[in-house]
Amino acid sequence: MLFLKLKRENFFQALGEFSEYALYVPRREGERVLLKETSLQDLPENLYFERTTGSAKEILFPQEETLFYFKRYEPLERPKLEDRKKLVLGLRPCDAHGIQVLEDNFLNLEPVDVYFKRRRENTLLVTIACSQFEDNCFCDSLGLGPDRLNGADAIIYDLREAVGVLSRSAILSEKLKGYAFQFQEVENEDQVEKGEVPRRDPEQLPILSPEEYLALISEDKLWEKISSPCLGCASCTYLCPTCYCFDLQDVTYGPVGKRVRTYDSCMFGLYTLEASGHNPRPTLKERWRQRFLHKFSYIPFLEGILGCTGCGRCIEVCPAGIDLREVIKDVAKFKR
Amino acid sequence: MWQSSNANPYLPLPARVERVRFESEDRSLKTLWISLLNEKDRENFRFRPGQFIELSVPGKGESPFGIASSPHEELLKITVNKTGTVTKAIHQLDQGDFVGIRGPLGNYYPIEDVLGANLFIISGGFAFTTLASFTEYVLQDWSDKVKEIDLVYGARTPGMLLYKDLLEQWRENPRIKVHLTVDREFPGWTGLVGFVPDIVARVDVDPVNTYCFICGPPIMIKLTIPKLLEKGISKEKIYTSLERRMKCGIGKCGRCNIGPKYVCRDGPIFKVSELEKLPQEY
Amino acid sequence: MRQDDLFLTCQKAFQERGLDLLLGYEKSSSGFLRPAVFTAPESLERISWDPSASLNLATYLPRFKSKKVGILAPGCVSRSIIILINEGQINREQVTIIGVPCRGLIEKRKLGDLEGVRLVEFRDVSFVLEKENQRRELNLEDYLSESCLSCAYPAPVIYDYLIQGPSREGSKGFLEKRIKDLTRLSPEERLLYFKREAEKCIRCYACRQACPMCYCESCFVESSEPRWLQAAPEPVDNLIWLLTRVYHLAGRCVQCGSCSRACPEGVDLMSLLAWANQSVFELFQYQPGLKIGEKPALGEYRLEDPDFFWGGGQTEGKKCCS
Repeated sequence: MLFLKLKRENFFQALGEFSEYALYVPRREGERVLLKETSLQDLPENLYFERTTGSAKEILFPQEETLFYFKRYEPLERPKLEDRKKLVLGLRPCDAHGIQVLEDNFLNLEPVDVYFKRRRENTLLVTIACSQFEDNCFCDSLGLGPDRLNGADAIIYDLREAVGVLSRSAILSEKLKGYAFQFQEVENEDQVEKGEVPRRDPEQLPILSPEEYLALISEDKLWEKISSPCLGCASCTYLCPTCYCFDLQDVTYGPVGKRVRTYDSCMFGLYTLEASGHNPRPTLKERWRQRFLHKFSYIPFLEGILGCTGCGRCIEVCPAGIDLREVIKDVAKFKR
Repeated sequence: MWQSSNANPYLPLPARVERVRFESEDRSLKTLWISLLNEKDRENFRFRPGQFIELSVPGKGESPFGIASSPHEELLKITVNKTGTVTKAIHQLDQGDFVGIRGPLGNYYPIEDVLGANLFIISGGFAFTTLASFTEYVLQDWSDKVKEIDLVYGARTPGMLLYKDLLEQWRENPRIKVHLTVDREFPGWTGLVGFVPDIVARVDVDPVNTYCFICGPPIMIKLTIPKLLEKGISKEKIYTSLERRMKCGIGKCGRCNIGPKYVCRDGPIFKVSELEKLPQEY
Repeated sequence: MRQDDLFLTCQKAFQERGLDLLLGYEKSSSGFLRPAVFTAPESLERISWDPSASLNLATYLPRFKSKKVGILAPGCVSRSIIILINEGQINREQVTIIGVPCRGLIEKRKLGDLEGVRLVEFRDVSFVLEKENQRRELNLEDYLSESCLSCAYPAPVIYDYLIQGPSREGSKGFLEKRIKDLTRLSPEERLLYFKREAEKCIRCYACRQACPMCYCESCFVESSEPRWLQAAPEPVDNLIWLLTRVYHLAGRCVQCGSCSRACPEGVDLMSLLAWANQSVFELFQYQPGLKIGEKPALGEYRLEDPDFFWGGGQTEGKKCCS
């Protein structure tokens, strides 16, 4: 990794080197904050961006993605791959952690998802270390932090008159080198100057090992208690940075059509409903168990990282007021 | 087990329906024989019994089906039960219609792990597909490397039994003991009567050196496994093929998981000892 | 309303009625209320009710068809319960309604950035928030949900027990100002407005799940034969979802605002629902959830129903399209 220090004006000049990339930043639109294409001139000088309402996974894994086109009943297919280069600036470390989980699923586990791969290759993700905490966010309670690089290509630290950039992307490093007044190779991200990153005294949440969680699968009373207020909507899953479950659907327009990939949610009954009518997860109890264990047991099993980023969006948005932090504590109490 | 000449795992390989046949008198079960159109795809498509394909009817959707033909056959054979949108569309397909295939997907019945032992093959209804493939494969290629082979196969009525031509052949074959059963008495039926788990309980097998392979509706599996355990067969020696609603078939969409295992990628064939530690979501 | 009044009455209800469970609210760590299921009288010490509640509790009732359920109910919730009884989803005997007074419910979105904010208390006409040891007192009326500002029945219309306390004054009930503003737009401008709202929708169905009247075991969106709309959130499909839901709720919606508060993207759901309700009221003089034994307006035919096509029924002074 390369750690560079640039004067603020030089950093903006350096961004000009990425003219072939479309620049995306979080921008407020009414009650939501969305990733919108913007021009270099419209960037805020203090490089402060609000956190997006939905997670940043949209930029690599959009809610609607056409996989290929076909003519009905004929074997003619044209795959549709995204070729546009994008530079996404202003995400948070929690978004980057979510991207890591998605990368593990789509890229690192065979076979490779070519759509995600093409988007990831054409996108540069630059996060900014948090300058304030968000409503209900708790990444530091999980042992993560508001200043981690995680899965991003680079992270920016506010060093007052200068900006510090920790980059693990060759493209970024090369282009930024020419504008930096200082740069050096680093092995560990904790060695670099991070400026003032907000700290609080976070409550450390008891995270068990994947095996310990798996041992709790038959604790019916636990899962019933947790899932009893749950309504079974998909708000939490659609806004979650690490949720990647999707549905495939064929859409036709007369004689031609396309196969589309869209978000799906394990909270829906239809998710596992089999054609015979049998549903292996018939009630919200089983579905909540799946949601929780997927994030805290199965993803750690398969990928070695936590499936939750601690961003707190699910807590903010849940109409039934379910608080994942309390769920984590409740589950840990049942540990054998 | 993803092997495909296609680098894009979501893109189906073009294929064509070569032959169709109805298996049951109520026409709810239809068998299709399918060929891949491109020669390169045909060369690269190597599968083992137990694996499945995702069959696309472009415009309607995609569904997973166990491969019922043995690996030596030229055409891919699948049997489809008419239940939903995609299967209804498949039932309307006829010779010459175009479809798409993704596969072979999933893992396979590990014949190499059970050499020198007895095989106890148990199935019910139209889930018999992959085990039919396995039985043919064993009789063709591994006949001298395994000991006794017992097959218990049951259906609701005699008409619902699949591949009656194969069943006839096997009945004549001294290498395999075929126990066919139907749920209730039926005029003209001279075979066994009773549910598969009860018939399984009555078959004599060597509990120490027998491997069991079960594929059937969830309720049948749930009731059969205890009968096998009662005989003294170890959980390590019982393989079962699970079914789940699937979409991507390659372990990406998150839908078919049982614990940290994906039925489409780490399965559909699991040992009962593996399933014990996982949520009972099948 | 006094907290101890609430606690004692709920305890009494539990014992006297032999309840299996009670649906109410409890304080979350930030001080705002959230739904809670109380299964034992001892757990009732957590029960609470104030304007920071958000979800219409009646949405949980169809889950407990065979149980004896107690439920806290302000006006809108009590009306929802009546509709559920009238539509055959629950029995009057199995539900124990604990009526609570209602001063309106807060729209959390109006409060802006809630990071680190704790709700301290509610006073007569105001409420107090605390952040980083600094307190702010805000006027309650300025932060109420739209549905509450034009609520026609704040006090419970039916109850088995009643907690004393002041409720808002009821007003007309159809979001008059919003509807007037929208009527002033040209049809093209109106369509553009709703198209923009539909673009925000992510089809999470939180609105549907938060609504007590959406109790269908299989919603029309899940139908694959015929498939009415695709799963992807295309604006056209989103609009179909929103509009069809309005039609399914016309004359059944009590405008509690639960859907609107549940929506994570802030889609304007209330305007069309209010409009549909207003139309039903004008055409059939019917408001849902006021009397047990009534059939839903669009589920019953009466001879006096206005028939604009053949010219029967009472069409005097009524228009078929507004």
